[in-house]
Amino acid sequence: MNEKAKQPLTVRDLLFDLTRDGLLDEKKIPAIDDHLQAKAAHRSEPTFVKLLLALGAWGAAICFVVCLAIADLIQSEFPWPFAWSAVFLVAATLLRNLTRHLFPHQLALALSAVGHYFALWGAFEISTDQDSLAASASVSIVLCLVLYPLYRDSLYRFLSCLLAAACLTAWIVADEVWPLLHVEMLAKIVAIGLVFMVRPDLRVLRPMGYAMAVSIPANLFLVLMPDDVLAAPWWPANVILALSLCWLYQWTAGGWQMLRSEPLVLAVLATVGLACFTTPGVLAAIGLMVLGYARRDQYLIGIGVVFFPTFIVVFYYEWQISLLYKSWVMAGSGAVLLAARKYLSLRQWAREAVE
Amino acid sequence: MSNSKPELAKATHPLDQPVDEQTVRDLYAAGLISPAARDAGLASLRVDPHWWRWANRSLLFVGAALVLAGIVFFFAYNWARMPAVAKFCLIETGLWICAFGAWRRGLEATSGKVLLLSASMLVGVLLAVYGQVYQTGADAFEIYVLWAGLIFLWVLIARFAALWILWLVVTNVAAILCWIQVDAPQDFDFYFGIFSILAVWNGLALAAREYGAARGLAWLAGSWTRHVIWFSVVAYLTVPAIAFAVGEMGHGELVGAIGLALTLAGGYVYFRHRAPDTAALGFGILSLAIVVLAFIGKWLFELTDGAIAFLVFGLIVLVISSAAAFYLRRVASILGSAGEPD
Repeated sequence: MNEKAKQPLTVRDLLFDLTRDGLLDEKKIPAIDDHLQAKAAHRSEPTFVKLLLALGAWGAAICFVVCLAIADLIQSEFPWPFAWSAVFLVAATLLRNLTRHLFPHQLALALSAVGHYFALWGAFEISTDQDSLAASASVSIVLCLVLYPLYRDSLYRFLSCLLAAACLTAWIVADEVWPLLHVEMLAKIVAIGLVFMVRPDLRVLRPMGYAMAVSIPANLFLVLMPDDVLAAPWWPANVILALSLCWLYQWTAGGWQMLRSEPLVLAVLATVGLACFTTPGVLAAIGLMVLGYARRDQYLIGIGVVFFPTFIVVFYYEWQISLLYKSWVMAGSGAVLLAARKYLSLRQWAREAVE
Repeated sequence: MSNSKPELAKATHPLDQPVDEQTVRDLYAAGLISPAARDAGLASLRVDPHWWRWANRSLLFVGAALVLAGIVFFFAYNWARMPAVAKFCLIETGLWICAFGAWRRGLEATSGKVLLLSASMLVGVLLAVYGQVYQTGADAFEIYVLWAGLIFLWVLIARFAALWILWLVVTNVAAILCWIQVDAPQDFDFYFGIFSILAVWNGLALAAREYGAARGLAWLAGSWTRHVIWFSVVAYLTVPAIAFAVGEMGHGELVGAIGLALTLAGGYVYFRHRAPDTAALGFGILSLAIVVLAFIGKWLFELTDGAIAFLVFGLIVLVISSAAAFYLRRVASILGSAGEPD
């Protein structure tokens, strides 16, 4: 293998190949260059800047809520929390959409957080103890659906989707409707597939996709951490994740017919083998990393990489299963992956690629 | 520096980025390539060997991590029916197999490095089981010190960043446990002393990393090692500095606060001008923002309490976080991808 073959294919390489094969007019290359440069110019800002903005707005929102509580300005009776929520959310949306500077955007994010707080508070006030979490989940989902298109800020969209997912999960856990944990996870996987695989061109949906990817571990930790009260079986999550992975493989490879190729037969067999006895966290981490690599998306790869060791630690502290059984699950899962790698190393096509 | 600029410009040009399925589909959606060109592009991506290289490495790292986790879980179970000699034989056999495998594969190969990392982990497992079986009464920190000592030569010869970071983590845990389990040294008994000591220790590790990377040690050049160590240095110093800002005036807090000021100043010069890295600058600025907010909060809530103090403090939080984000955004746009080394 020459040195060039070891490098990933670049856009320039691809355009050269297409031009050489008569599939692309060379005169179009400058237009393609302009298109890609314009896209690169709109690249989102670094993760730590977003983290800083989110932390700042969240800290400020707490201060504002405490300020209002101490000043005794907010009445807790219906409909006042909702009225205040509407005031803050409308103000935040207008401020975000009508200004161009960082500080008003930060202020808008903090005000929107305060608005969400009052909406959740209102939901608690109008409901009984039994259905308060259902009410808060409903309110947060409605707010997310309504404000997602209106509030044009990726950080807000990400956080509001994350809040809605968290409220929904809390409601499922509080009401002990365990099968819904798996249904919720399936819905999140469908959303991730929609955002990153079916309509990757709709960048407006990306924050929702990332929020779903970040929130999947919460479902799996709850599936994994049963005690006498909280009890959910693993196998539905394993089935859902294994099927999702197979779908991901065929999408990455370019169609269902590609599943008959040797590498994908191996991938499917390894996935089915893992799904028979491993924990869903391993499959989810693998899925996020494979999707992230296929999309060249550092966020998804990062979520998968962070989730993997976190999951192992959480699994260690899982309560119902002995460490002995867990050790077989872990070591067995690793053995399946290492066996798949060993098989790959014996194949000529894989060896050439690696070398 | 000047020699690297053309390379940098080439590396950051969109046409020289690795192509993915989405780029091909984007170009088709924008009407820039024909359906036939799209299909040919997607087909060429599917046979691109980068997938097999990625799968090869990922299967190795994830598989090895799971097997090692399984081994750790197994010995944490402390199976009473299993004789002690069997436990030792099992671990030592695994250790020898890994060490022998690393020697056979060679430390140039990734699999050889992973095998040596596994052997180093098994040394820790062996020491933990030794402590389980013999109940020597020794402090836990001694196990970590011994572990760090026993694998030190492997760390030196492996040229593997993950093993080096593992060793650093082991030494950090040893120092923290020593501080907790043993009386602090004479004239050194301030509470936050351990944070300053670990910041110095990790700072030395960072200096070694930067020196090595600058001298062309490719195995040290991955930015994740810099970020992990720099984050630990800043975090260790931020804790005592916050305590100092809110009025704890002990020696440890003072040393930590002075140390943080010097570290952030040095870090700014280095990561802004010598080795541009916006993420590293971001850690420093986040730390500075937290300490400044702690100081202002202490002063403000002493001056006045009640609703107005929270309102003002909330606005100050917004101002400081906005200013920090504005600065980092500007630096990131100036540095471009040079600020995010691979």
